[in-house]
Amino acid sequence: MNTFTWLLKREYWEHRGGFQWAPLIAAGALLAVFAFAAVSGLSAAHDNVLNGVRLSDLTSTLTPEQHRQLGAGIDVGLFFSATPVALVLAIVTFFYLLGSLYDDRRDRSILFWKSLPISDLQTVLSKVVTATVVAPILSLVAALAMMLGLLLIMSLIVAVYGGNPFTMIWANASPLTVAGKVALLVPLNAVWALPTIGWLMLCSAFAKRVPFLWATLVPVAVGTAVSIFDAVTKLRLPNDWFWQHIVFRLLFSIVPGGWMDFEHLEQRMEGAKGPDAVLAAINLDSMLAPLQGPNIWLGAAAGIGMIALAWWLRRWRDDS
Amino acid sequence: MSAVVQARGLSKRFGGTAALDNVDFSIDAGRIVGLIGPNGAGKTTALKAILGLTDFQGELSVLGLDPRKQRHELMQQVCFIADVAVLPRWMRVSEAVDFVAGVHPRFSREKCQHFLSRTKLKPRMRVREMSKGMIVQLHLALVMAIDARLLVLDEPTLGLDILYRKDFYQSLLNDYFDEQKTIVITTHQVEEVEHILTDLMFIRDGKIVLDSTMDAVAERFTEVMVNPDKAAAARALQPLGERQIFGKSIFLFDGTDKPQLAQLGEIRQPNIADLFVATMKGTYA
Repeated sequence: MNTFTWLLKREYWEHRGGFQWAPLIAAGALLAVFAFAAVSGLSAAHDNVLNGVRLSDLTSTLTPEQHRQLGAGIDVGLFFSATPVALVLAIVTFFYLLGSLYDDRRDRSILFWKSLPISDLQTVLSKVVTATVVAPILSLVAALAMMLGLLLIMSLIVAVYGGNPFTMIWANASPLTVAGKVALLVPLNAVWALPTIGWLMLCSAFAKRVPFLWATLVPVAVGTAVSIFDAVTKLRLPNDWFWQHIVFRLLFSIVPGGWMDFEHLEQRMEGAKGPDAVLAAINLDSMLAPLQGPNIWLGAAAGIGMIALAWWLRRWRDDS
Repeated sequence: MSAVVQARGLSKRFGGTAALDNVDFSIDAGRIVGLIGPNGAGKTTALKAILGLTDFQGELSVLGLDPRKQRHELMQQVCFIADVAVLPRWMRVSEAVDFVAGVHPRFSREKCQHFLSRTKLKPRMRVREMSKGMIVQLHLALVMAIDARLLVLDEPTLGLDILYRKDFYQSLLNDYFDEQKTIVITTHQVEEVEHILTDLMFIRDGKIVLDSTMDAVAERFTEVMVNPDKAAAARALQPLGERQIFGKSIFLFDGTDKPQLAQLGEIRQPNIADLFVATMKGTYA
């Protein structure tokens, strides 16, 4: 293994709890809630009858259109079931980045790391790669395992009600497509999250203490100042623009899928209702749409700039 | 053989005060150099400059490299323990060994295991569960297993009890040091290192006030124990320092003729601690 791999391993050793166990616990909790609901639903039902309909009959009476809707419903459910894991990942990564270039300065173990033949650029990049690749992939694995679990529980329910899980669920749903879409979030998130990654690492490398306050108060204070000036003066300051494109990008771009355009989701559904319309709206085109605008690339460039600054600080900051 | 460390006009200022004031020195290969000075004299700044941890003015070359620009190459061949360095608290002994073995081309796992086997450290132990002394033991075991051309030790034995300190310097000399290696040590426990040093440097207010081999120090400085009746004669020879013990005066002379001093009383070799005290007189005044 080369030095860089060891650096990634080092980050994993230190943050195993956040990167590995936290998403697994989130996924496990969601599975447990789902399983519990399913079991209590099962014991409440009698005679394999649900709302007066026998599931075994249902399979044969569903029209192809209804089969499609059922499958789309399962797919959409699976897609959004990853939300808790994604939010846990966002929170863990946020605090990981805030501490990434600060914690070892605080406890002075930085002098141990600096006594080894590792360049500061390698150190900084290993932390970027941990936040953009290693941690998301560990969360992805947890989310995919959870989705498989959800499908198995659903199959079990259908089977218990006398339905055929293969025709009801596996033939209708397309879990591999869902898995592919969720996996596609990883590289897109990595590009989208760069401004937040850069800003948090910069604060982490810069702050003498409490990097959290630097990271949050500076953009919020500037944003508030812009808002106040906008309100009390005749200058037309880009108040909303500033909050949306600076403050939120600096602090919240780390949230997976945060760039997805949910506001216009309804518009894209073109008035149609139902899960298949939602599923159609979350297609490759809409997922890749942000890549076409300048926003994501300008943000990425700013993020890389801030990472470079954090690297410079890491090399030359002398407060140990 | 060219010098391992070569400094010319080395300066570093913090605000108005000079931590290093236009310093020249050179350290040759195969030496064990003691860099001794009171707190705030510039020892740590000098070491940090050598290790590329801080910027400075003047010229400094370490193993022929510029520590500012070529720090990465330099750290392949240089190792250090800083007085305040601690190992990361989350790390296990086995992880520390694996990591250093992974990133350091000159690290010997066998040697490290050998040093560790003399301690109570277990592979699964985490740094946060260790006593201060055990952490230092781990750190020393890691560093001594690295075949570095220059080893810089800044207060390496801080927090260790006397048994382990003796043991450490013993193995530093027997198991680690050879003619290809150079060691620079700073410590406040001068008496513990004095028998292993080959060279001595005193630093005061950012200036090198003594830079000499131990042999030359023995030639140059003499201590005389003088009875009260001859004390005035001794003072006339302008001693570097004077202290009283058991009603006699002990004078420390710099460069004064030894036979001449022998007439005043019993002469002997001053130890470094006494030499240091006499040289640094008035530092905190």
